[in-house]
Amino acid sequence: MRREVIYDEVFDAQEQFRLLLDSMARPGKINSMPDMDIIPPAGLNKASAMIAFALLNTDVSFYAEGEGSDAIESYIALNTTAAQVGVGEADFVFINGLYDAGIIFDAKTGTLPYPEESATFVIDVDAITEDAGDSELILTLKGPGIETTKQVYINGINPGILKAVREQNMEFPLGVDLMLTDKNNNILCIPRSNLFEIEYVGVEV
Amino acid sequence: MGYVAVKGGTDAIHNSQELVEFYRLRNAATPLDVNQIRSQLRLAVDKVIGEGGLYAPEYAAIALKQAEGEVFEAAFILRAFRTTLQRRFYSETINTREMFVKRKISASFREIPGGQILGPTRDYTQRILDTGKAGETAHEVKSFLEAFESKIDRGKLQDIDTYGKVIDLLKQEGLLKTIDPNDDRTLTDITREAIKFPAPRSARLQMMARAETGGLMAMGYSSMRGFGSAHPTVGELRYGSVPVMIKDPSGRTRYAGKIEVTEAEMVSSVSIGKKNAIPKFTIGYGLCFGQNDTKVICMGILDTTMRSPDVNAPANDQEFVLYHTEGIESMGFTNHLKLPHYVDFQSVLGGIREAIKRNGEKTPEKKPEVAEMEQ
Amino acid sequence: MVENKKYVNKYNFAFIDEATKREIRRKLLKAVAIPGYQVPYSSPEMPISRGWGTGGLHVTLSVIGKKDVFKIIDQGSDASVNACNLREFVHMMTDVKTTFDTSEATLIQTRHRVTEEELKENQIYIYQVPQPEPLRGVERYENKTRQMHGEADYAKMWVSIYESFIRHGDIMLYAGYPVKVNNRYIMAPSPIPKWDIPNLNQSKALHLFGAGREKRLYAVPPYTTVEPLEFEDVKFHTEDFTGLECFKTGYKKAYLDELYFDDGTRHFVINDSNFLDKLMEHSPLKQHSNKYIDKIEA
Repeated sequence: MRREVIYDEVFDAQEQFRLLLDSMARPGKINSMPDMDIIPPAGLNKASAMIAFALLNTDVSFYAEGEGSDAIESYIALNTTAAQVGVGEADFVFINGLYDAGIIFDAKTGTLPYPEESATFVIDVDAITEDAGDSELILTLKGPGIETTKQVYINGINPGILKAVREQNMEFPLGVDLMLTDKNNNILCIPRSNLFEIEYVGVEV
Repeated sequence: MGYVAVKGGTDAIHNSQELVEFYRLRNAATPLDVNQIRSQLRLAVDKVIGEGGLYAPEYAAIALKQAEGEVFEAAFILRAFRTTLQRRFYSETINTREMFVKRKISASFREIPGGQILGPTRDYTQRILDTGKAGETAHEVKSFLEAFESKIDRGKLQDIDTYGKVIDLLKQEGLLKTIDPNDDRTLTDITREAIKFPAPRSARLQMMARAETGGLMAMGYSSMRGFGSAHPTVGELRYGSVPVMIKDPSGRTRYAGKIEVTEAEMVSSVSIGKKNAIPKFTIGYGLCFGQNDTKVICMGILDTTMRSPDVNAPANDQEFVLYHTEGIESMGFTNHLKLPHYVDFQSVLGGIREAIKRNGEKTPEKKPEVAEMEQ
Repeated sequence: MVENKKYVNKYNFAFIDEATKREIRRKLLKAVAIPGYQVPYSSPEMPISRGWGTGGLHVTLSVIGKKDVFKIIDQGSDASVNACNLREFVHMMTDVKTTFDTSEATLIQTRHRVTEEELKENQIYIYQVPQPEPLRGVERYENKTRQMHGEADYAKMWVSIYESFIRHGDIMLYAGYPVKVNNRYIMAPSPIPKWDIPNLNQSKALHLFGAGREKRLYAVPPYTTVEPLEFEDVKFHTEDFTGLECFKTGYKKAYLDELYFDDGTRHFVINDSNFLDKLMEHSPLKQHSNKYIDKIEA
């Protein structure tokens, strides 16, 4: 399993955290992670690996599911020292965008006095864009961080996942937060405070 | 005329910092040696490592020197230094049954296993100001040490062993209340996460181990004196050194060194259940770095009182005790009152002036006039 | 970097160790995702006293990078002693550029003021918070205030505000006026004057709050609704400086400090030091706009 020695845990982590913070504060804004010379295992976008490196350490836990998840789990464990646990306990859950939506309901959503004790999903998709192109899914976001509304286009996501997230987040402040990454190092965050609409134009997976 | 009192703040703080150094050093014939502080101001060093939450006597001595002997300040400096260190390991639970005992007393029994050992206690020193200390010479120190050491029977030292505990006697006889299954036994690390209430016992004891001795004493004393119902006995109080073990990544337990700690087990009687309850004994526990009887005794009292469901007594109230005995935080916030507050004061000022006006009350003097533009 | 031969004394970039930075960063992300909710955090000791801006420093030092430009004010002033001290510390630990110019800064740490100059999208505004719990005045126990926030049970707070009005003819709350964020959480905006409260609403910047001693972090994302607590018939209002003006500029549309000169005369001056400087230099300047301030003539 590859150890990413080029990752600078001080300055790379700081720069990437700032991008994540900006994305979480401005849902619908697409930020690009730097193109680093890291080689994550198949099934894990580079940007998702960078999220893991920037945020995870021995104090938190994670879980990965889907194709290649064993390799992904050992890669993340080796490079971050975070603990591998079951989905119900995990602070971070890594999945592919085309995975079954059911997993959304298995992750922790926090408690009313401590709603932050909930999972953050890092979801790999193919493309996140501001232009429609040949996109399969249109996401219209609304809520804190957005002046009016914001539209983004996503390829490679099971709409069921987004529907499940919306259902889980209806009990705000309980809920889960999303970080989507694509093959071009783009990231998009959807905090639980966001009220989004989905329009699906592609072929059902 | 400076229109804001604090304009030019950078120069002012630099001058003030320099003045602090000047005050620390003026009249100083010879600079204090860190080893002198470590050995001759041992109890101050112990307080600093305890409240600073870092077992580093040498650094504590430096902090004391830097802080001109102010213990709060020195403990604060040590805690700030601690922040820069990464926690690499958690030690295994220390076992005070393995303590190399330097002091061990029980107030509950006349004789205890291994006997009562007073050790280095100031309890029976007469607090008469010894003006002779003023002229203490290196020669005197040396001859005292020589005379002291000549009395020691080296052969006997080998026999010192570890001792069983007083609470074991009570436990064997079934006099101790069994551990409450409802008590939250989660192990938390208060230096890694903020305390949450109701706090598990591990968090309460950790908070108290770093708390300020005087604060704990005020709380513990209040409960005994009348604002509560603590009637404890010192079951056992020990001071000595204990080994610290660490598990390395391969799972092997390794010896990391020794630390000096003081431990108190305070015995009180409690009734279990409601009607016709059988009274039993319960143990209040206290442990801190270095030698500090007052601190561990008060910890022991408060460990018991905070388990009481009745929060009418201040010492029984977890949030009250733990938040307000945290010396570094209380000191910081108390002193923050010296910072300028004119923005918030202006906000209140306007509101109070309006309230007086609304009530038709006349202000004592004529309304101050707004000055014309000057300058 | 401070180095010393015998004792290990080399400090990490931005002072805080990387594990703690990550913890604070994760919690800031949660704080942003749940606007106005107070996230507990470890809050390690800093070489600055508790109550003197440790929470603000934790946030600043966890987000700051080499490219940032840092500004810090205390009571609206860049020159205030504590601001100078913290500025020096942050600079010493990070070597980032510092500035007095509000519009140039990417990170602004503050104690008790929002700048008069409008904040921008590329800015993060960081508050030092002494008491993060807006309900502490009506409920002393943390355990209970947590439950009240969890259930959005704010009856006690509303009653207390109403009683204040009945007794005194006005809501007797001043700096640190409680607000409701995103129509959900009641939040303590830190002791900023009421004058600044409307500037949090739908702000272009991200606002982060750090209460070090109380170990809480919270956030108001940009473009988020922030409303002062008020009733249909009893309204929030800002501090009233009617008839007063800055003695240096004659300007009336800014928060004013009340000064007494040696001869006993009273003067008022613009509190925000950089805003005052810019007005006096006639530098380009865009002030915050809100329904309270817009009524005042400059």
